[in-house]
Amino acid sequence: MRPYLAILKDSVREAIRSRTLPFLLVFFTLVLAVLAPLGLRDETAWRLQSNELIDAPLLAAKLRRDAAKEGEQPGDRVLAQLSADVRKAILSPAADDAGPTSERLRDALNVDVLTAAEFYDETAFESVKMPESGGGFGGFGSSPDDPSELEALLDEGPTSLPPERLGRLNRLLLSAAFPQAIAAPDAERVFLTYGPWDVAEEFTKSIADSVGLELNRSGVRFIARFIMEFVAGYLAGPIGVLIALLVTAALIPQTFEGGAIDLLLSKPVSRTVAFLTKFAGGCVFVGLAGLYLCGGLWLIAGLRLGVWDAGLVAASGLLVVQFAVFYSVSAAVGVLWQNPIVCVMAAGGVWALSFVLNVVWRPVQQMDIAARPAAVVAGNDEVFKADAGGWVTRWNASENEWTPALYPTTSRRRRGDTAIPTYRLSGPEFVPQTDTLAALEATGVMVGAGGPPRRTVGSRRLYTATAENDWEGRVGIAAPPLTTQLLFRPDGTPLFAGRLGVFTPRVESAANETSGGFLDALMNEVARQTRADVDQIVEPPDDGTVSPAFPEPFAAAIDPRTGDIAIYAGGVVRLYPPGESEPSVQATLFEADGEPGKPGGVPAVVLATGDGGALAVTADGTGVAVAPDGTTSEFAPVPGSRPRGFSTDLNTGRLALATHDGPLWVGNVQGEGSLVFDDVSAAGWGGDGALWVGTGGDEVTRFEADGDAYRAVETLAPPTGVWDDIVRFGLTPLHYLLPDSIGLGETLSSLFSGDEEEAREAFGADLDLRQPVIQERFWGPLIHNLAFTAVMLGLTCWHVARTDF
Amino acid sequence: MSNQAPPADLEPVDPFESPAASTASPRDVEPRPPNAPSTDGPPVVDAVDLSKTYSDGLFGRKTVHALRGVSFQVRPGEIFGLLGPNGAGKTTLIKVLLGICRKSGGSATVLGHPAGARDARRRIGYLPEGHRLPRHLTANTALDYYGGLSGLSSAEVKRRRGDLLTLVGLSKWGNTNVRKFSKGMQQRLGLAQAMLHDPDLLILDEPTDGVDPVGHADIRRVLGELKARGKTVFLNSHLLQELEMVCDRAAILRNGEVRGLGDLDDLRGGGELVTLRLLGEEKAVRSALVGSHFGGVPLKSIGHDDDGRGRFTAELGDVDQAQVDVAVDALRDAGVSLHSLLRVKPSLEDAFLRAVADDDRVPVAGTDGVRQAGGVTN
Repeated sequence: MRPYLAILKDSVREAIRSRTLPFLLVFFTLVLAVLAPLGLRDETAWRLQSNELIDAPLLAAKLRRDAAKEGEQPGDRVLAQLSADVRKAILSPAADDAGPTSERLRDALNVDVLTAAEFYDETAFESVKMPESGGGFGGFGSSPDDPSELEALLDEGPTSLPPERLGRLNRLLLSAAFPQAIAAPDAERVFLTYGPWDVAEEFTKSIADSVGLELNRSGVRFIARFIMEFVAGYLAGPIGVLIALLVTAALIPQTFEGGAIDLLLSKPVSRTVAFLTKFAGGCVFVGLAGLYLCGGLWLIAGLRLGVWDAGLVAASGLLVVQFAVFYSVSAAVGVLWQNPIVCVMAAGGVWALSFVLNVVWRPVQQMDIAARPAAVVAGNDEVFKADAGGWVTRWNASENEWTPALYPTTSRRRRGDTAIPTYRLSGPEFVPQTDTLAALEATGVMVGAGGPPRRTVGSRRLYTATAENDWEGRVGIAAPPLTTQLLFRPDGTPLFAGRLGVFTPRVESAANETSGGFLDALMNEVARQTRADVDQIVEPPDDGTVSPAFPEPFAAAIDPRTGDIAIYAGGVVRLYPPGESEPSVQATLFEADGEPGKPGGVPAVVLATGDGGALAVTADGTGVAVAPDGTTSEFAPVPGSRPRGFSTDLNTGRLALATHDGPLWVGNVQGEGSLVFDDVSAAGWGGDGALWVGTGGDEVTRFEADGDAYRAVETLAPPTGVWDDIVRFGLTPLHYLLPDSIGLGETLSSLFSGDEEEAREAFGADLDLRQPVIQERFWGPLIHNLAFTAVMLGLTCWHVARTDF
Repeated sequence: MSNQAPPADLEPVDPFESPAASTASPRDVEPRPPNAPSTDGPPVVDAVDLSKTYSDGLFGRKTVHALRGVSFQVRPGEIFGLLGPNGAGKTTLIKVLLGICRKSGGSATVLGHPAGARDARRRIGYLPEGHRLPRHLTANTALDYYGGLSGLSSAEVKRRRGDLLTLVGLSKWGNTNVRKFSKGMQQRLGLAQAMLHDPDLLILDEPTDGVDPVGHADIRRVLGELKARGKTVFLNSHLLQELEMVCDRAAILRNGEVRGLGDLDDLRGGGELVTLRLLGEEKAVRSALVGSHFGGVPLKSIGHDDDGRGRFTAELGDVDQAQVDVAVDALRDAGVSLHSLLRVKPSLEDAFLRAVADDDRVPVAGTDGVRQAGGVTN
């Protein structure tokens, strides 16, 4: 080994003698000095955040109701603090249609109510149920054992409290008085700081919005590390690698020029190992510099953000890989031509080519993946699909392409409004009774409970579309708070299922007799108001709080043939026969003490019901079948795959379970079935018993049962164009031939950004299996680039081994 | 450190033996000292019918024969010289022996191992022609580096390098960057690195290239010491006089072929050449030489004396005394005066020129078909 250690040592010595290593260290020191002031500051949460105002119209309605009541009510205290114009907007007769916007109301509450020392009035809040000994006073999922923060603040007296604590008191009072409209606040708020200054909240919020993050501790920490990633991963790292490439460009050529290589090869060393050791010497040089940068980042993240993440140190290894990829090109050219300038040009050329290629190829790939159907529904000779973001399209046979459906063209809904796709729909569902396409849009809402934040998705809008309007949708009512699922009874009546229960909209009888049926009547009904009246048909069990709620994780399903409802909540499945508000069967599937949806906690499931039983499948592709008598049996329909959801065949009751990873299971509610496909993204039964399957980007295929197998009958996909051929025969082969510098950069970024699980779960992926998980492409680009490097080095070694020098 | 010339008066020390060991000039080492290793035993280098062919030109369509059936042996403990004009294939031969180039045919062993084998290289010290030492190194770190490459530990290198640098006259330059070294100093350092691991065989390719006359003498002395210690030296040089001073045996390479091989005396041709300087009439000189059976020898006119008589030289060649007497008698009888009689031993250069002069295939440097690395194209 000694000869190779001598080469290695000499390479490092050469790098040090070139003075580049000290220069790089100084440069990296400056970078670290710029990043070191980044930090976090905690503040007691008292301002009302936009996601905490769950239902502004409901709040306005409750304020009006309180104003109309005898005696001093909480609503009176709120109205008394508001400015005259806001008060007028709330109390005006037309407020139902044109009350203050949610944003305006929130601002008014923040500015006028939460800062008012005279907001609390003992008489007015007499009727409000305050927690006797717990701080979780009515927020969903709160615990009665929490200490009573509200009582402590009241004991101190509102007039003697400093502004921040006064705001906290008023904020808690608001949540206690209007628990269904205003969520309980988080315990604290976290701000990003730079030295002694707070970073402008607009800045952090814009980043959070673009990524889809909540601005909780994890989210802010994510942003801080995002900034670190940007500076270190996109500026310092590449500049460092570029400098290193320039410096090391001469190492190999000098070694292989005449007079030097003869001397080297006269020593008892292997040619290839000598070359590889010389190559490794350059990498060691970069590794030392990278270790300094990443070690510094690790210290900053640990000391300033409280994150001791070994991944940051490991990032130095990726910096070495990033360098080695292009250095392998430089080394190959150096062996062939012994000219450092040619080496730099070749490495730069390959980098530029790889960069440009992947800048084009990567979005194409992402679009292709995003275009894979996440839901497929068919009925009445129409086929619809929704992509990963919930964007719904219909197959237009005359145009031979997918055209937008369901969303009105004037809708605020746009594709790709966050960097990470979130499936924001319950549905779409095709209602055969009225030939209507319907879906419930679900926007993310975080609901705090005084304790650890509890995430769920909140109330949303109903959209419907029919052929009469060329499938352009109509905006419907807002479903009750915390609704996560839209179900349809056998008669086509919609149900809203969520942690607060299952609700059915109430429609005047006259409207029920319109030609469009109940759903159409409902849409007409709600067109005149912002909020539908609902009847609760299933109530959550009493959990000792003001507003009982089903515990998380929550899922609901209905048998479209019988109307049986199944609800999974907190690990327990409850089966409700049609018209029954009490479960006929209750079976505990999972018991755990950990946080719901997290490892060690009760897992989230996708749920199906039929024949009086139910199936629940967890994120690992295994599940439990619940028989009508409540007995359970385990089954594993798609082991290792994350399920996306069930589709039920209206004719036979067959179930199709689609996954995010490709396998598709078809079986019955007893859990008997088999995998019929291994690389599809979604499935839905047509009215004629055909199975429509998402088989590729923008591609849906109709399959018909053929014995135990399924036979492809028809494929719906737009014709491929020249661009598709360019991608298939040009870009893709080149992508695999050249290094993937962008992919590796993303891998590096993921290490710099860290594994902020909570931030990612803000999308609800832990509690809602319909959501895609963020796929960290960690190993793919790494293997791709290492393979390129290995091939380059292998070819160079082959040349070195057989060449006469 | 300032860039000063290396000292001329060296006090060489043997780094591998007692510092008190005496030194001697190459001439002094002949005859072999009693304690010198024997040259008997298996050859250090044994080349049999060695050939090397290159592909050259666009797409490698041209074939260059750099070595054509080269056979020779280098015995242990001798200094073996390799002579040849530019393009003869000398450097190629060395590279083949070291494994830097692959042979195309024949066989070669070095120190009992196939040519190029790592076990052989472990025992070889090599100083390439026009070698380039990494510019970032000092003399000391260069020896650290090459010592490490030869398998020496840092401690061993540190123990040896001081004496070696003293031996090659660079003792005061250990911490100076080689970038500041003159060519001669770099040659000295190159020689030091070749000797650093105490190899059994030293292959030196133009070791005196760029070295001043004092350095030449130093290198000769070092070679003498190595020979005295039983080391084998394979020396490739253009400088025939240098080789003549140090080598025991030599091979003359021409156009990829061995054109002469053996002891230097054998190469030179053995006997003495007799040359007469004469004064007289040309006709009388010629008739006297014809009469004494030397009519065919070259007769050169070199002018006239004050009396108008012609002055001539007649090269009788390698003849015995009786023949000389007959010629002198005949000349005197013809009235020709004998100005002088010279007896000269032939030089290595003479032998070299003789060996390479009769090859009508020899290309002239600079013409097509000459490959700088050696060999001619077909």
